[in-house]
Amino acid sequence: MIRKRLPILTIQRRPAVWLLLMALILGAGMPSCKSKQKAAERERQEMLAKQTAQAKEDLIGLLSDANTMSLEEKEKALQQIKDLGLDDPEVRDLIAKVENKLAEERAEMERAAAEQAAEQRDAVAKQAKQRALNSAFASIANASTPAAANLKIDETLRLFSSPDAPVLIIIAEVDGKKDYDRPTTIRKYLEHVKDTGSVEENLAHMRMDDNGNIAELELRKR
Amino acid sequence: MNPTPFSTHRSAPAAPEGPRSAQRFIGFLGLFLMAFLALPAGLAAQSGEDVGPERKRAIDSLALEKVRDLSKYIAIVGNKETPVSEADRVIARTLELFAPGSEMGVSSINSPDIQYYPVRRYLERLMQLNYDRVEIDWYDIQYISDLERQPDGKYVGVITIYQRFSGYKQGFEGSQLQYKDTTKKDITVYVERKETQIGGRTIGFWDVLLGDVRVTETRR
Repeated sequence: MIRKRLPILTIQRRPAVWLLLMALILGAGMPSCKSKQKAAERERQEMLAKQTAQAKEDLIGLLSDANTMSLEEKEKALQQIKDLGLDDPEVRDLIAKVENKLAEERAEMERAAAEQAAEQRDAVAKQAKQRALNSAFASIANASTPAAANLKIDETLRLFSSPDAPVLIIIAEVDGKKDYDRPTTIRKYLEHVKDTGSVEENLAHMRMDDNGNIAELELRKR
Repeated sequence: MNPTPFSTHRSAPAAPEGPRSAQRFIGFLGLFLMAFLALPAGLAAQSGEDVGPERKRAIDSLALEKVRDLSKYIAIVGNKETPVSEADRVIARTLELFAPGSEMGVSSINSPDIQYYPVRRYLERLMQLNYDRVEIDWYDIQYISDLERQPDGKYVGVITIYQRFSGYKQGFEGSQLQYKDTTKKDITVYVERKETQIGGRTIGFWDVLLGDVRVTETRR
């Protein structure tokens, strides 16, 4: 029986041929790999350029006063841009500017919030003082004895900057123009309430001093 | 010398000119009457320029309130139970209600004379009245002459009040009425627009001051 040799087996038995084949394969494959790397690099560069351009655009947008995003949204957008780690001088400069701007906005927001909280505290304190005053006026007017009225007057005067704090009494207001009675002081007003046994005025406005005491009182005739 | 319209009328009664003179006289008389009648109306219009009816009502009420304050103060000063320190303080408040130099009239059913005292003297005498208990009550407080604007810009009016006075002394049978009368008094009221500075602001206010208190009637 004649055994026929297959060519492949012939190649296997000849290392030189095998090496030649390998070289051919590698030689043919190398140019293709390099071009792919270049394409990938190009793609990466393009992507980087796009990201950089987009980042610049977004950062300029964050610097704009017309930006309607909330401060938190702006801070989040800035962080996302920083996370990209873009090594571009213009982007770094814009990031620094946006950081400054957002820090200022944050400080302003905190200042406004503190002011609002203080205003609310003042309003609550003012309302408490108004209630205390209304109650004091009624107590003085209806006091059973002059001594009891005097005690209440002394107590009420402690709500004021001084016993001489001015009291203005509006007798009429026409077209925003106020007519007043002769100005008096809080001590004299309270004594008048005691002497006449009646309160003919409502609280209209209180001006407070830095210590939270009433510096000036405006009343309106009923 | 040119004759005046009236001298023309008086000096030219001649018959032919009679009807013309009479017409001229009537014409001039009409003008005179119009001018005469327009004067108070003009003043009224002038006073109306400064304050409208709403503000005027407020000023009227303010002046009435000052008189009511006076009535309360007089009752406190006259009350024998009022401590001297309180009475002194109220006298000071009372004096602030009055224009300087104002006087108070005092009458009695036992005498036709009316005595006038400076307000402080009146109040001090009131404190020292020889009774154990004094009751003073003012009622029917109202304008008898409305506040009218004067040429100097002040408003002047007259408010009338009735005062019931009762003086008691402690006797064996308790507190006994010794004297009682009712007097009608007229109080002149002055209202003036003034300005003052408060807290750096200019405040315009109406200053009400009471003038003389005149006794117009005294009865039991």
